[in-house]
Amino acid sequence: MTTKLCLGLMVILTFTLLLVSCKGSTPTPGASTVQPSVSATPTATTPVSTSTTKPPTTTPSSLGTATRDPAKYGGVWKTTLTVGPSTPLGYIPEAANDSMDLARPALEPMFNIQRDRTLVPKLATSWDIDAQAATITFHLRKGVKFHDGSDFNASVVKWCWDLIVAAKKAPNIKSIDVVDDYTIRVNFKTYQNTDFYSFSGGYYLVYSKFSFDKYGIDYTRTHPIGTGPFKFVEYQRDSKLVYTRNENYWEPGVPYLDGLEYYVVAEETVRKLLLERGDVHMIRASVTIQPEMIKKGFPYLTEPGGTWLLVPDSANPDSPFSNIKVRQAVSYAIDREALAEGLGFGFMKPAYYLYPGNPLCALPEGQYLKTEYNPAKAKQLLAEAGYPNGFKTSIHTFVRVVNRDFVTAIAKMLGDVGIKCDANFPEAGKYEEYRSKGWNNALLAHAFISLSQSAHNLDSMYFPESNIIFPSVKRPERFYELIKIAKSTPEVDPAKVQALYKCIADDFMVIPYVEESVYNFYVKGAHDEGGKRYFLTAFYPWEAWLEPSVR
Amino acid sequence: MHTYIIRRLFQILLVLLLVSIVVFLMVRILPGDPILLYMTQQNMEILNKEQIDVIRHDLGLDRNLAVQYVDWLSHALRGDLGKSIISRSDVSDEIARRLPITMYLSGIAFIISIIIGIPLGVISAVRRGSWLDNVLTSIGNLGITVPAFWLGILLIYLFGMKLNWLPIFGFTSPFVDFGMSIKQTILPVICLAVPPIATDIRMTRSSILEVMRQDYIRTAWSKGLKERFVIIRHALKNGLIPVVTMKGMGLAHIVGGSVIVETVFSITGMGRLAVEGLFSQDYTIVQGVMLVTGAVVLLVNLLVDLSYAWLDPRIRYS
Repeated sequence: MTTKLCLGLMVILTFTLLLVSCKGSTPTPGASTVQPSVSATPTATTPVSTSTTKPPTTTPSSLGTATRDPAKYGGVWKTTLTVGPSTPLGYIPEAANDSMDLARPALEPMFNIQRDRTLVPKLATSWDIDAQAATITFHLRKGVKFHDGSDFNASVVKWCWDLIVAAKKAPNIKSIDVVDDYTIRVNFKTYQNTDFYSFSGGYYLVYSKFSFDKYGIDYTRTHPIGTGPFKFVEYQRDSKLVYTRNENYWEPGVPYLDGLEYYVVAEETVRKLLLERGDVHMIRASVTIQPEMIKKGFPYLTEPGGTWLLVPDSANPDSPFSNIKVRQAVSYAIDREALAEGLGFGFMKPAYYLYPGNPLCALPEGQYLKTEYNPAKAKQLLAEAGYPNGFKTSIHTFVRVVNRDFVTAIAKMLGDVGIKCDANFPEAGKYEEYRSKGWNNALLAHAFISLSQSAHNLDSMYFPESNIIFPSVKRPERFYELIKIAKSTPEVDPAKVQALYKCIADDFMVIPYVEESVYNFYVKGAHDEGGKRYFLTAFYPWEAWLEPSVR
Repeated sequence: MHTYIIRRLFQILLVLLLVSIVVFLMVRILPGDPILLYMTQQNMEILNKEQIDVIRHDLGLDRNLAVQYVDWLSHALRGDLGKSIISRSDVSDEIARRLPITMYLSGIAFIISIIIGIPLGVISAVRRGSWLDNVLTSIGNLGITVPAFWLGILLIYLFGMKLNWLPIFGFTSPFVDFGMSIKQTILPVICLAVPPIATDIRMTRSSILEVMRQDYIRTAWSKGLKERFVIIRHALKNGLIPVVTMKGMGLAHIVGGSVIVETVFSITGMGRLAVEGLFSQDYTIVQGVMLVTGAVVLLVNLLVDLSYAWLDPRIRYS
């Protein structure tokens, strides 16, 4: 009887599974429904509007044809990544910042921005910005081919950027017009000077429509086919990313390297050992190994990085942090010098406001309240705020963003003035929940990455007006107004940007404590010329070269 | 025997079904929203509720849970485990690429642990109380307590850095470059094999000692049989039954332990895929990995159960 029952259940189960497996096919979740527009003909007939503002300072591509040292040619540059690109590499509407940076050897933007704010033309040879008409017109480089042999022209650029608009990733773009084969005009809803700098990379990297049409979206996701100095070879997820030299690159004489190889190595000790063995030519080092690498004499490049800070739930009226005096007290309670020296090993700098290392945001002494370590002052402020005996709170952080030791140290410092903190280290999902849905009576320990030229783009990066990120942070009264003002000038006006950052500092909207430094270490004989001029957050390989001894 | 195997296979199907339901639900209960995790890697200016809803709909995550599950299951039965939420890559392809690597390393570690661990356990039992027993027992205790992460870094430092004998990261298929594959496999396999070797030594020792006390073993000794004959012919088979049971479970531990080893040695295996999928709450990755891993473990356990019949002729399956 039992046997018959079992057999019967097995038959029913098998039948059910067969029925389910034969269910009509439905779109597989994950398949993108964004389809490219088919239009390939120019649509604009109006002449290019006269520029009413001078374009930002430009320089011709610094790599002229005059002198190319033959000794520089050869070798495959090898470097490491902590994690592989998390999102599609080649299909930009679905790509995140890390993927876009890693696709740069193959995909090019209109221009590059050097650290000194000089612009280097790439796929655009020149541009006209019309702030009144809210347009930017790019004059494209002629004679450029994609890696698949198809032509680079305005139609392809329009196709690429139309996809971005369709994916709602460029909310300020009204339309894009092809003026002629090598002229394209972007029409904005309102003029924002940050929009221009967006064309130095990110969503505006250009890739081949021909390959997309021929091979489809899935292929494009994993194959960045562009115009860059390197051609994509392969990507093995979480393993390695390989490029090879583009022999037909439009700029004569470059690149010097035969290829690039990125290896995904999660463990920092292993990355360090790889550099010491000479298995790789470059690594990005965290603060924990920076002193050792410098002591060992490895050449390096450095630049100011992001700011580590505490984000209070000031929008919550029941929270102690809604009182500015409490936020000031927290700031006074933190010994930034000790953190920078002790836990940053001297490679971090105290930060009293956001992005102190960015000239655009630099606030002169006296222009902001510099809350140097003063526990007595902190206690006084707490008493004035109605917390003479302090209060209990929490600090939440995701350890991949902020080093756990810093949070523990800060919790101790706050405890010394009466703010008793529980330091919590939730996983990514829970931390993201705090960040997007809000947190109560707590501080988030976060890190804001450096924004370089777009320091006033805070509403795009961290505090959107939709409040969908950091909703628990009360925006100062003039916050969005100051952002709009800073974005509205034809060129970026440092005074306007500083006004925004002063507003943030005065309100203690966030409480920075250290500024990290980005360090890239190299083996002797590996020359990252691009790293000397461009930001280190991305690798600009077309100027890199290897001495024969390290090839 | 055939009936038993068929019945067990159906049980495996049922267990896998239950596992898939549990994993499906649990991964959605976890705090956090994968769409937000995905979106916050992008520029925030596009972050509004409407855009998030579009992405959620695009991925099919706004449907009823039961509908989502049935849809996923129907595709899974046809070999389509869906697409990663974050990277949009095909989950089946990812698993197909990584599973052989993990099974290759785990399999070698498993075999090595049997070849080394069981004989050493037998020796330790037979030479109980001697210096050899003490050494092997100590090795067993050490192997159990040493963390795989620490051992991996130590091996990298010693063999990769100081002696420069072996590569310290990556994996090459033996069909592509056999020599490099062997070199790259040595250190990770050592890390994977040490804990089960240690466990095998202790378990085998304990099991053999138990068997050696049996009457039929005393009879064998009193008949004047040679020691080797008594151990191998009489004691070993019976003593191996609990060891085999443990080895069946041990394979699951080896596969699980591969997470740490794969991270340390930067090997693209299933373990890392599972961890990355879990951290980024990539539902489809986690579901796919758990389904495949579960199937492997269950099939191995079936083989373990079937091996009992070979070890002990009294055991018969009907």
